[in-house]
Amino acid sequence: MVFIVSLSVTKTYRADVIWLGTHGNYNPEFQLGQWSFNGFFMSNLGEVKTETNGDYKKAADIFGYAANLRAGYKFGQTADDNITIDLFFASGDDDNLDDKKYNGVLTGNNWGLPGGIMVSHGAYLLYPHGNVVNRYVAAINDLSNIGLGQIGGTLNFSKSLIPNKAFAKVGVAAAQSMVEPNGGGKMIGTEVNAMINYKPAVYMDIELHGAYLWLGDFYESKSVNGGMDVKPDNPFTVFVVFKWLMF
Amino acid sequence: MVDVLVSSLIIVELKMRKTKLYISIFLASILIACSPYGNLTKMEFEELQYPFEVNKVELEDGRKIAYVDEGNSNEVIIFVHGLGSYLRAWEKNISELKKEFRVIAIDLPGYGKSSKELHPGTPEFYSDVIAQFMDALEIDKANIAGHSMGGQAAIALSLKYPDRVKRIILAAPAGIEEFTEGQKEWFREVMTVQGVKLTPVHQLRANVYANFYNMPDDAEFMITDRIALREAEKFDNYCYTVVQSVKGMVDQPVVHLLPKITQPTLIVFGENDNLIPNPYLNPGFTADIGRKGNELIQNSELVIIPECGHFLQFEKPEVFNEAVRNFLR
Repeated sequence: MVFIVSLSVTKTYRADVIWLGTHGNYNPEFQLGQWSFNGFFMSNLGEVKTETNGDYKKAADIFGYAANLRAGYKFGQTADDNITIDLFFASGDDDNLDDKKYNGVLTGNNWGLPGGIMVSHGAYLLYPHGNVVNRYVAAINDLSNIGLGQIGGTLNFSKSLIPNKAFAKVGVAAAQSMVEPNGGGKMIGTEVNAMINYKPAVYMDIELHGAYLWLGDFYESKSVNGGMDVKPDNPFTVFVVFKWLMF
Repeated sequence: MVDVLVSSLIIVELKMRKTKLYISIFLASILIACSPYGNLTKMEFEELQYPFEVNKVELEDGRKIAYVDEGNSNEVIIFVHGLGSYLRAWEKNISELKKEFRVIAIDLPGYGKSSKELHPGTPEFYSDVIAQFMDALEIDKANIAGHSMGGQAAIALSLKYPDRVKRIILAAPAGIEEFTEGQKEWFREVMTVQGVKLTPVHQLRANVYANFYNMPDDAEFMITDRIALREAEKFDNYCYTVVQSVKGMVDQPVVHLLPKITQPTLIVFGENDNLIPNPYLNPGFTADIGRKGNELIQNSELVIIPECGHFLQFEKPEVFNEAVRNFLR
């Protein structure tokens, strides 16, 4: 794997990184009781060396970390009757390697941080969702938030309408960057969403999803909004999903 | 149980170097499974602890039936447990109802402390067993209470031996919910002796939890007993019995025979039963199943217990016991 690390001067470099972390869960599917907990902590540490006349010398230390904690409570008959809160944190870096330290999270690929690809938080536009085609271009398209870090979370309320056959869910999500991009602020956005699920047959689901995201002042920065002079329009999505597990 | 996956250390070398390899090893991912059941020791079926004196009687065919017999009254209730269960399923009911009735709870053949000969496991087979059991105890007629699969057995008994059944108490009974031929075939194929035998601990726990809306702490023995029995000498026979019992229920449906029941019948369901109707095959409201049984059984009354799951007589024993008292008075 090779990461693109932005150096103030273009040089040949080498980066050695270690990922160290842990992941744990209790009753993730509400099968063993009313409470559910899930979370991870993952850090990346190492160093970047740059080459001068054939010698590699340390240019910067790397230390970034990310954490997640999810807690859920099942208040009704089925696993669809629950309220769940999901919190994220990723350290950020505001000056790249200029201070000889890089404190962002290195994920390797979008949301591919060792510890799992996170698409089960219930958000659609602020964080990536497994059922939307643009899941790699969510407002926060990567846990590291392009190295700037972030703190955010989702809150979801799900209620069974017909036990094990239909349920509805509403949710909110919000996040802010740990670092202000040039010309912008920290607030990334606030999302509201809803979905309804119906199972017409065994292992068959029909779902209607919808979400709206109010972009924050983070997107006033040209460096993160694609070079636009103004903040982009608030995005929304509405879509229908048909799932059928055939075996 | 707390499962903790510790990805202890992952070292990835980003750029392989000939002269100076940093460390290109993948040390380990350590799976630590912290189980509260680690100290359970192997147990034989005979070592199951029942809170009542256990008796045994030999039937005509040589099978030995374990049972408890409490209370002194001419009004007899025979309790029949459900799939994969045993007579302890009724312990909260026996202890109360014995004050007014003679209460007898049995371990069906293959379950609990009863003998473990192989058998067809059909509702009709169980009805024959109960009839033989009544013969052995010289009970001419009794009230029959059955939970889940035991409810279907009670229905079969009342149909085959109507003169032996005074009244019927059906606690979350199987036999009212209908299955298509395809669904029945699915049950037959998915239930195997090996599958039952090798059920992992977390699934055993989930299976027990699924029986409750809010599992009471004192139901924990249902999990620990099941785990401790996994190496019992007759465990294979028990697993076979479970499989046969499921096949028996789907092979001998009784729903079309419910209108033929003439005995007064009490039907009790937990409003939040996660097993009836089947959550995968026929998801929906449990109360609808109860109402269907109430309509099909001519002389029946229905009680729906709110905030209560499948194991209603254990989860809400006060409500169930009171319903039984009112029904039998």
